[in-house]
Amino acid sequence: MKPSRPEYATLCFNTPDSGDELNSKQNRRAIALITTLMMSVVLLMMLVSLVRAVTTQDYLTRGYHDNVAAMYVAESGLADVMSHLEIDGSWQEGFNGEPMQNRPGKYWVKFFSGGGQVPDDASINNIIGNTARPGPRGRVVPKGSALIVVTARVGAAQRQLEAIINSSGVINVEYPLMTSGNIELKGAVTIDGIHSLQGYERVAAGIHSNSRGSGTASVTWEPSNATDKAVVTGKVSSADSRPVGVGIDFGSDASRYDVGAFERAAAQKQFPGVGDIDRQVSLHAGDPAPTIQTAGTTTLPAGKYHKSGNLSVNGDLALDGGELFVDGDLTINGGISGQGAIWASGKVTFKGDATLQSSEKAAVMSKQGVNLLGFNGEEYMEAFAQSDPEVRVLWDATKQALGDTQDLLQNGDPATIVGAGGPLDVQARKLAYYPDSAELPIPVVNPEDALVGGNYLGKLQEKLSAQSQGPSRDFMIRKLGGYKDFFGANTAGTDATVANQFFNRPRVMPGAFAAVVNSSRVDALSKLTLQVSNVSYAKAGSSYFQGVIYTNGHVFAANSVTTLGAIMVDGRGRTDVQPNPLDPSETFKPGQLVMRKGANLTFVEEFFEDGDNALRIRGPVRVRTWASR
Amino acid sequence: MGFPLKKKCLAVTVAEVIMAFGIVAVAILAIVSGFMGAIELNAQSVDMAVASQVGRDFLERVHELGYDSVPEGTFVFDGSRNDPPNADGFPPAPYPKVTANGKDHFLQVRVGTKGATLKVVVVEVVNSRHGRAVFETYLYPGFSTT
Repeated sequence: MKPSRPEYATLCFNTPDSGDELNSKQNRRAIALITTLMMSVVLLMMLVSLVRAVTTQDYLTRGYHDNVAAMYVAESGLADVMSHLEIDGSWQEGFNGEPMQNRPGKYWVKFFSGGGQVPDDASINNIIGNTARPGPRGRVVPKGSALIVVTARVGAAQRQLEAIINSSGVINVEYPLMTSGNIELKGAVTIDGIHSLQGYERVAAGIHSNSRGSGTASVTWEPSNATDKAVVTGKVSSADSRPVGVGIDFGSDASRYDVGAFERAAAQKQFPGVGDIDRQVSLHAGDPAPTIQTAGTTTLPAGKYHKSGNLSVNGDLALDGGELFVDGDLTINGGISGQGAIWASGKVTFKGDATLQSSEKAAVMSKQGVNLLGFNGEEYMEAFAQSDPEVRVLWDATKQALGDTQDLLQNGDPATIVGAGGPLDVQARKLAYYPDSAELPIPVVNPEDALVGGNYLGKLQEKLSAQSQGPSRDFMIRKLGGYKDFFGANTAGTDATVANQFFNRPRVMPGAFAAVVNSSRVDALSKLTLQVSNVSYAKAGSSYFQGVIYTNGHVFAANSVTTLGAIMVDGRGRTDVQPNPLDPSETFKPGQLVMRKGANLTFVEEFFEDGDNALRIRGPVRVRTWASR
Repeated sequence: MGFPLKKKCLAVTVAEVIMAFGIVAVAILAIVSGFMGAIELNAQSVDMAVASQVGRDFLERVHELGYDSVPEGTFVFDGSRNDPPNADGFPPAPYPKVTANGKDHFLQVRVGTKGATLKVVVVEVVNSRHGRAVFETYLYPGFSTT
């Protein structure tokens, strides 16, 4: 019996048995295998495609991850550059494959300082430069800034970014007086503005408080006597939504004040970003300590100085481009002058004033508060004059001569007021000592005899020297001495040389007035006018500051304060109170401003606008523009 | 002539069919394992993409909040342990975790310092199976590209 055929075999055998059929059967041999193999190939191709698609997606995902990681590495590189430039504006070492601290990834920054074509990946440091420099790809790097190109790599991913950063920024100030807390003004107050110290173009200037108010008014003013007035050429504004008279209180007698406008519920204003003062101070802990004179003037040449602990300067502090970092309280028992900056992690207290500087300005940054205990020389001299008739005559004559000099400079014909023996020379001989003066001093019989021979300022100095010793007396002696030298005979060099020095850097310097007048430097008269007007403006002895004061604490002014520039009191986020240095039972809150005996604030617009006369501080480095390449 | 040839034909065809079955079996096995691997790889890729995006979102938020929001010193905040944020709210959302595609992605945040100024933030995003993204960035006060 034949074995039965399986069913599938019939596909092969259940066919006619002929030669063609046999050939056909032979042709169909392995057809299943071939078909299977072909299908398998197709399936394998599909599988390979699937695997390739998935691995490609995985590759892309990893690429995306590395690309994102590289972006953060590039940003880290930029942050690292900024941290170096903050400490040293001339830093140009760069990075050559600097590894990240915790993760794979490196960054490169190459500075280019040579001439010629700037490579595409080069960085340019122009922070301490005075003129613009060419950068990569035709960019221009402005003065005071740097163009940084950072290249970062993570795995196979590479990112490049370029940024313009700025270290010595112009402080952006809208108001000459702005606080985060309450403003309390008392006495005669004048708040006005000028565009530039080189001219008299007026601009509106106001005051603003970000305090939303609770309890006492956010902004108050009250007169000290029957004649005091408040003059504010701009707006008096506050974020306090309470009605004017409650949130902003200038009293009920509108004839006592002249204000541009009152604005309640004003938008909160932004304070300039000057960075964390504590951090700035600690960053410079490694800088040398300043050499402080026990008396007289302490001059800080260009450079950075750090003092650990409290610092007291008995005399004037002259900043000749220097920056002083004090990790504690700073007390200056004299004045501050020159161009530079002071950073203090504690309080800053001024007991003197600033000598007259027209083109220079200082920045004072204090974490805990600023006390302006400005010495009122006018009041002191008036009191002194009442006790001595000769002083009365000399003091009145001094003020008269200063006024006449200013009048001549502002209204006189430049060609006729200069020259030896001219009207200005006559006034100078009244004020200060000239060895060739035609008029010799005579013994004083009547008080008016003191005027003979001129040199009023020198004689007042002598009178003061005969008084008992004390900081007020010493302060006035120094101040009158400075004026006397300024108006006195030029012995520092030829008239032309001294006049040139004054012209290039106008300031109160010995012999400057005589040098300009005697050499008939008509082109320097406008600068001389400003110096003399400042003498008048500062009323020869009132507290005077030129620049910007910024604090995270309070500002307290015990005496009449004259400020050319701006005062910013940003106490946000702080709660610690500070005692009144004159009355410890009273305390001041962060953000609070208190001026008890009047204030003269003149907003100088050009200090806060980009330009040659801008007030720049070397604070935190900031990114101005940023782009991924 | 018929049967011997027919017999031969039958033998070849059976072997052929058996081979075909074998090939099909191998192919199916390969396809299934390849497919499983592809699915696994795809899931891993998706998880990594999600983790990368979560990590990126977190660092962007840190940049947005700024330098001062990052604590000074060395700290570790582990989202898988549900470590609470500090009093100032650091680390910010999306810490401690993000749920996407039915999976929890936990954030582990490490904070440190570099030099006198820079703060270092490392964020590692992981889920229970796979998908891990780690990013590190330095923060400088006042610098934010967001």
